[in-house]
Amino acid sequence: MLKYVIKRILLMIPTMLIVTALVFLLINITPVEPARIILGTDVSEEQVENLNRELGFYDPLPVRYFNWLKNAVQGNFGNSYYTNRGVMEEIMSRFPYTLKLSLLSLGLSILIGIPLGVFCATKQYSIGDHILSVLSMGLGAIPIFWLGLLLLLEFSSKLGWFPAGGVTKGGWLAWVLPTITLALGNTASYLRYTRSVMLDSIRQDYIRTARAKGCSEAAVTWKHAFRNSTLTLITITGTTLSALMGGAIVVEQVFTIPGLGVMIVTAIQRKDIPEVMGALVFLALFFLIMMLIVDLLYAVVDPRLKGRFAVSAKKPKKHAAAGKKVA
Amino acid sequence: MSEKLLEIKDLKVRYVVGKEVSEAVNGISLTLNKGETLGLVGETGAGKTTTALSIMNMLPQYVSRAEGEILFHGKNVLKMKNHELRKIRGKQISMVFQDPMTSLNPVYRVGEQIGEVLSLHEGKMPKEELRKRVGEILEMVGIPAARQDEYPHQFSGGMKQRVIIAIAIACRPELLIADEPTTALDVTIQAQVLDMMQELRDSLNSSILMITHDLGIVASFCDKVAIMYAGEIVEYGTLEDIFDRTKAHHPYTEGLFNAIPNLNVITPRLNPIHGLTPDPTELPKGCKFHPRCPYATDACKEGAVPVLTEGEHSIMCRRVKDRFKQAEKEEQA
Amino acid sequence: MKKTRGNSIWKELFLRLIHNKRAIFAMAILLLLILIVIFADLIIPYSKAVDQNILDRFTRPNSSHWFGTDKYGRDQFARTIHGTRISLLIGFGSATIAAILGTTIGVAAAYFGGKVDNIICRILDIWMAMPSLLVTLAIIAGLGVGIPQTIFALAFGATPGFARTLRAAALSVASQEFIESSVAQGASHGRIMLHDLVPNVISQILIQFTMNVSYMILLGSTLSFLGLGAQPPTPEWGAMLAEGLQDYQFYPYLVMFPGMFLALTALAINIFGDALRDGFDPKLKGRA
Repeated sequence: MLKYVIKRILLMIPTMLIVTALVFLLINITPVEPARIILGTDVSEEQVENLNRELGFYDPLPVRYFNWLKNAVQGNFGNSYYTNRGVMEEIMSRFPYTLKLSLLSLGLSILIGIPLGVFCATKQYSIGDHILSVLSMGLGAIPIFWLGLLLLLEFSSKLGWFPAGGVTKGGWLAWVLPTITLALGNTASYLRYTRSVMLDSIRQDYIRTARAKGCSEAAVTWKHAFRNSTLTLITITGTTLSALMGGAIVVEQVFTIPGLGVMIVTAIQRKDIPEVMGALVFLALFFLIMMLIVDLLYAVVDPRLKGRFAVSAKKPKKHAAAGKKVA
Repeated sequence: MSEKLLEIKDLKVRYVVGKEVSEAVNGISLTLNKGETLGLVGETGAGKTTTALSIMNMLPQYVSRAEGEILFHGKNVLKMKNHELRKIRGKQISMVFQDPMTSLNPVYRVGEQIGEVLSLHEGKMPKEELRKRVGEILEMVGIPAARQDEYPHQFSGGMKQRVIIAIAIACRPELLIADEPTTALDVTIQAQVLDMMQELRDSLNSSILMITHDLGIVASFCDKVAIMYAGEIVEYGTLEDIFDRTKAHHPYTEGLFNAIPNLNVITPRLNPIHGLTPDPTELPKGCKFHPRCPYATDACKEGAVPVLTEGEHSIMCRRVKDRFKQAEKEEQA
Repeated sequence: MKKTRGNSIWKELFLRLIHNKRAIFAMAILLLLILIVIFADLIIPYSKAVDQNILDRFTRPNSSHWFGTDKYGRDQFARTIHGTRISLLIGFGSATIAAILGTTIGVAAAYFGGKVDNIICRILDIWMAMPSLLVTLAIIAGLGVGIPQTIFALAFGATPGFARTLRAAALSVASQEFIESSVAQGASHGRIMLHDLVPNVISQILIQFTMNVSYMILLGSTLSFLGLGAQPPTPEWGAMLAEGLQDYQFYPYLVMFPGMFLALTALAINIFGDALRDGFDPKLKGRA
């Protein structure tokens, strides 16, 4: 087990190198002269050129990348062009908000989406299943920021149940609407995934075996069908996490939460290259670590993988076609 | 007269999916006595598995409708409440399934899966005792007790089927339903598993409902035989009745026997039954076998089909009487 | 095998779609949207969507301004109608680019197999090691904001997922005999991929494409909402919502209409995509 973990962590290094190189390349497709931003307009061309040279702007791209990398591994992402504040410092002050928002809503969508998905699968074609299916489809199509706006409008402005001023002064109540907004989309996808995976599981022959043993319906559903579905549900978490991070950026904007998302958006608009680079790389690293945890979890849950940890965890096909077998 | 264990009376099962209604079982009646082995023979789609699932009241919910009576110890299984059924399933009636590859839950150790049925029906017991019991049961089906800590993917197909049989016999059921237990296995493994089942039957004294399409298995295993076609039992009798080629038979039974290669006679070609199993959503009227029957007349295409009974031997065919008489006449002439 | 799937598959698909109530609902909405895109200028001139009229600010929906006006007095109905063009352009544009790139990469990986497949898979792995929105944001940071940039950035983010699915689909076809027979006949690689492989995975391409369109429309308007996509005064649904955000407390209609159009469009395309999948593979019906 330990060997596998170490191997996976070592594998992250080349991935991270390529990801950072790619992001660096993409961000610098069109060159931005840092000195013009830092010094403003009231300076001579000479001053601009000098500062640019000092900041390494005239170096070839690979050299600039390696300089950035050298600093980055020491935890230094450079300074903002605008505020001159350390980017790492900025990220650290904002990350807790993003993390809290993401984890709260991930927890909420798992707690609601999975049981509802199981319910839909066990009661397939019932009225409840139909309603929830349509509802989850609708939720998947509603743009997250619009949903947030509507919730804000209804519960904050009209009814005044929740503070509208933002999480910095609103206390825990201010987290309720952003969490729900971010969670709803993912709840819908958890519901749909769970339903589809459970429908596959329920049709498996071992479910019939369990029922023939005299297991209660609850035991059949949870102990046998759901336990098998967890494998697939864990792999799906990767997709969810990706959606979650995108959603968090938007929700922060709507609910004025001072997280990483707001930082990235502002930085892109202002062409604050060190901030964009630092924040994107930080989020990518965070995402990779989460995926690593998911993979390890998968290996722990699936007995078929326990025996061969040396081999990387292959993900199973999403829709293993399982035909109904009733002669 | 031996004691009746299971009595199926005019069982009808339909599957309703949307507007499609498929008639899987169309009024079958069967009796199984204590200690007896009944073979249920037919092609895929004849309704054998549906019959088996009905006996345990395990038809898929919402989409199936069952009518008639299935009396187990005189009590109708189809009318039982869930908690009553749970007490019977796995304890008094248990089932061995067709596909061993998929019938075991991949995430639990085989010992846990056998132990589950024991704890369900014999109450909680100390861990050590449970392990000992599971080990004993595994050894009964020819698997070393130590392998109970392994997962299903570590077993071969034949071994998995043994595990499934172990689960089925763990509580010494009175009725064991075996749904094509050897179809998915290699021929050599088939023989081993069948031998083992025969031994178990003798030691446990269970009644067995053996579902198969293999007449060879029937010949070596069963006391009574029921031939099923399109959800009906077209012929029923003792092993001798059915396998006696000089007696009158249903044309479908004849077809089944003609499709078996005979080692004693040189046959240039096997004689398969022409045509396909009818679509259960659109069963033919009258005798359901008439589109494929070489002896069918216009009369066969409509109305109910009479059943010819002689002792325990019964045949559901309008033409069998004429043909039988004709054959006798020809012999006399 | 090569030609047997020809016409019958389309006919069957068509019949299944016609008999699917949800699909008909979705197709009706899509048809309406396409008509709006084509005839937007006939419905209401573009000038109404961008011309400011201070005297008419914050008019609530009425007979002359069906969806009301914003703080610059611009007609919200005109902006929503012309926003349809922009949103669908972004959605279809980026999904098309992703489909072309993704199909090429996926089919090539499946067809050549071996080393080529290995290298492509590695590249896709790394491409997908980052959430697609981060990739998209990085490109926008590099290229700057604007509609063409948005389309390119979205396409670049969506391509690896597309390529993965297509590779899996093409892999099952690539091993079949008719491909070998084409090779034996001396057909060129490009010809075999285009004439033999692509037609056999066309169902997967269409399903993926449809799902991508709806996702890209949502993502595109998200970017505009964040101020990183279409720029004012371009009428785009996401951008309209962002502008409406400032005044929504007193004039909620500002965020109602563009949001409804956006949600309905995405929903219709999603439903259509589901119906397509069921239509191509009825066995999957009832699964999410």
